[in-house]
Amino acid sequence: MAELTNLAVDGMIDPEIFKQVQNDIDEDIKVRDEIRGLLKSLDKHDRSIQSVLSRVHAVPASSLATLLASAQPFFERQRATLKELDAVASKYPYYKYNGLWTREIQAASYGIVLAGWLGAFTPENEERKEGHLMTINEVGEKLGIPVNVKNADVFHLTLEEYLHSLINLIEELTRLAVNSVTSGDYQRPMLISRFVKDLHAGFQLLNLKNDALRRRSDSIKYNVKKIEDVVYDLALRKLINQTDNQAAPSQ
Amino acid sequence: MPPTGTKRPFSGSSGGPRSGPKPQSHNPAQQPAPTGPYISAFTQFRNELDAHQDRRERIIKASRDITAASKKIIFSLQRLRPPTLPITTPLPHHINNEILQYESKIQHLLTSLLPDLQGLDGSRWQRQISPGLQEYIEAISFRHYLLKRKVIEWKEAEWYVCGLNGEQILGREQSDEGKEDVEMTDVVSTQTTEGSTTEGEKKEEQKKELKGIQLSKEDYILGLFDMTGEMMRFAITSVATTPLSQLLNTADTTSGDVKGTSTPQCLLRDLRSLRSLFECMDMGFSAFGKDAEKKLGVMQDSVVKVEYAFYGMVVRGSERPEGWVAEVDAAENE
Repeated sequence: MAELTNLAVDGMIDPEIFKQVQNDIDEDIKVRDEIRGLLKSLDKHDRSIQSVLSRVHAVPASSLATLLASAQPFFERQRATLKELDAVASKYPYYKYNGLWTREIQAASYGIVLAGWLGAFTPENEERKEGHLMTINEVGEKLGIPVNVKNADVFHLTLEEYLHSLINLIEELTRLAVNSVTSGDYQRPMLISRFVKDLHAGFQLLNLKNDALRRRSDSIKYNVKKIEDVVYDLALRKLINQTDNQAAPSQ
Repeated sequence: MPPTGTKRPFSGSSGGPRSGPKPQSHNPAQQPAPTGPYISAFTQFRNELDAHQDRRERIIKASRDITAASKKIIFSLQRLRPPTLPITTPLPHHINNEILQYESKIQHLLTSLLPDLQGLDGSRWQRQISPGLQEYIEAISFRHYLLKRKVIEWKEAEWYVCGLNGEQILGREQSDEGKEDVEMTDVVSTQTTEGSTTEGEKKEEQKKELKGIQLSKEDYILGLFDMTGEMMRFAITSVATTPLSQLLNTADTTSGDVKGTSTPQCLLRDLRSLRSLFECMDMGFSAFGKDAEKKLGVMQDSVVKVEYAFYGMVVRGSERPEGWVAEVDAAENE
């Protein structure tokens, strides 16, 4: 920009103004690149986690504990990368760069809520139990980042990101309900049915604006329906005990 | 309730007629309150999301109103017909009053937004407030240019948009324009040192907890881009209303002799310098970069339009009757 000084012949423009702005823009580009680098490794960890967890559709419940344990190192790596991202991102206004990582953070949150539902975080002295909804605070604890921060401008998991990850969970559980039946587990679909219905009731309380979250939460009802169909099929063939299950259709 | 198109209003069914059956919830006896393990958590989520949404709507609305008022300021400024730049005489009363009226509206809106833009929310709603800020920057930078023949600095622009200085801005508009410089530097320096001025000390105290609206460099630059469009419009009108003899009255348009240079000539020269400066900047590839690239194209066209207007006057202007000018409004020149 130095060569431009002579352009401001009559002093209309102080080239210094533009130089400062240019510096700011350059700085901004640098920050974005740095964040993108971290997101790349975050994405990698996430894919590792998902590839482990997606085997839940194929393995019997008895070996699920081993499966979940094998995801642990990836969760730890994810946590470490998030710590780095936190360190970089917290230097700037949170929402300035939030758009860059929101997808990756949603994915990370989803990994935790799915693993949590499957019982990955049951205390060691207890037996693994499925069906737990990780609260937003528990997710933050597992990811090692603050959640739903309102009073400080720091890196965190937003409420919207958490809700998105719950919808991902519902979609995955719908698939799991079907596959559980295939592998002979008739009780899990009942558990899933109750869980998803409860969650659906929660989502119905929200007044969502016309955005991605609204569209996605509108689609939950199709998942509810699909799971109900599974339950209906089981009930029809007397494959489940109907008395302890309110989810079966009354017809 | 104004028509809201085909979409349902976010705020629910309040007011507007609904087609179809009434939702069951209108009959409390039939439908029990939802129960379940996650209801209380989601009720809290709803309250939070609603608060965000209300805030967002308020900001978008204010941003639109700021845009509309800023456009009106620009129209008022476009009615000025100065023989040369910068304008040294006080602005005509009726134009000054118009501007004052719109600017007070803008300042009022900006101040009303402050509680919604504190801390985390300052950057959260950046995209919603941006259009309004850019338009206001366009208006004040255009005025700044006409009055001083300078590009407004970022710091001064932020002083205008931060929403904390309405009193000074509006008070100053009424008083002598010439005092602008002195007051401006005073206020900017006290702002940075957090000291309070003696006048309006009480007001200052009330606002102390509230941080002003931040002006991003991006909005500043995009506002300046838009200003070049206004300079172009102003130049084209000036070319048409300036007698040919005055239009090119200094042979050397690149020399530093500003005195006696006609308004269109000033504008052409300044537009060219601005264009070179903007062309030199590397805006990157973010959303802002794409925006800026588009606006750069528009501003390049603007410069070409003004250049072509000059060409037209030089080629065809000599065919006009001696002293003939297009639609000079005598009243506005006073």
